[in-house]
Amino acid sequence: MISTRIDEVRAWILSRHPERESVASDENLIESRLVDSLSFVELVYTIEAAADVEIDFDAIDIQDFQTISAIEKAFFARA
Amino acid sequence: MPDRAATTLERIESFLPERTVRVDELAESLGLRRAEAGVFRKIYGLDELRFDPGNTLFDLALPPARRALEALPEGARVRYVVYAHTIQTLAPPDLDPARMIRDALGLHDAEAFAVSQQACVSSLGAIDAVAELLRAEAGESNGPDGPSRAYALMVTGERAFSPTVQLIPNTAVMADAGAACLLTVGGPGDIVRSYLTRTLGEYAAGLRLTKEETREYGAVYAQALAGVMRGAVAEAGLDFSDIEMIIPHNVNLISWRGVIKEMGLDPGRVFLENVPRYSHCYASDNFVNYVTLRDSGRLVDGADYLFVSVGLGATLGAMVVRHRRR
Repeated sequence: MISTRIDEVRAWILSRHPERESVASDENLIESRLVDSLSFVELVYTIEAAADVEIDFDAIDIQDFQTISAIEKAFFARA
Repeated sequence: MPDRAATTLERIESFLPERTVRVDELAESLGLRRAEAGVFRKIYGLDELRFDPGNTLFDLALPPARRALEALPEGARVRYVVYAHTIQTLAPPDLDPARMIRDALGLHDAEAFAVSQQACVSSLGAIDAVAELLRAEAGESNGPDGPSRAYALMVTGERAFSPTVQLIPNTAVMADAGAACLLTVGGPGDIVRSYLTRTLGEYAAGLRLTKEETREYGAVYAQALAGVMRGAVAEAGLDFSDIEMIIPHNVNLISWRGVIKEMGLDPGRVFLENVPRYSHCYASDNFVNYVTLRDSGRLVDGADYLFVSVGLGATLGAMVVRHRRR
């Protein structure tokens, strides 16, 4: 299986939740508490490192972080 | 046994300093990294707040207190002034802000004291406590059915006076505000129909919780708060569908999103419009939000509202209030 850069985000989430084997692309990360208030900033840095971007907070919304798919679309689409 | 005379909220007022700052502008003084400030702003929904280092806590507390006292009927007296605050130490030990507020208001005959043990829930707790004192006094002087001519004034107002008390990491950026509530028992004002609190003592360390404890608290927060909210509504003899609107504390949007999801609420029933405008103003939020709703004509006569607040340490509180237009 070919690993993509969005998989780095998925791997980071799984590393924080050893009880989980997988995260579906459309699973709501916030409602399922896979990302909580303590870890949100770390998620941002993980995305920035994986996508090699600096997130412009004036251009994003919470919906951009809801799922793996949304993160991929918002921050990895130009990759 | 005769029914207890209900606590009635006769006048609620609030005060916000004019100076507005954005969370971004405070990032340096609070030691927030770019991403942290961005997350506060766009994910937690804390955008602007009122913050004026030139003010004292009296500049915040006295204006709403004076306006609330305008509702005191001729011949009635204020028996208690209770100053509710979150941060335990707000003044040097030789100064007592509760007494100073009382004296500045000219209420020299009133007994003055402070309540802070429930942090940001202390304002709701203070109303509950001082109403009990008024009820006891009314029972002694007038008999259980007699009307009370005695009132109490609950006052809030404290400043985010240092970065240590302004930033609750990963949760909130505290802001300046003040509020006041003139109350009595058996009056014509809004009726307090129930009040419920639950303190999760295992998280008493507040700002000094470990990361693991903070994570645990985060994991139980929505469910525990939902339980207190449902309990207060049940204690008032109501169904949750009877509640017109939830008047919350302004901690942040993401915490409320969790509670809304937990309870299956319609998000429109939680008044969150002030979160991005005023941020979390210690023990004043419920009253600031009430005044916004009242002054924009959005409180419905005869409808039931649920005040909800959470204090560091960790107390969860909910109060059902029936609004009566007057």
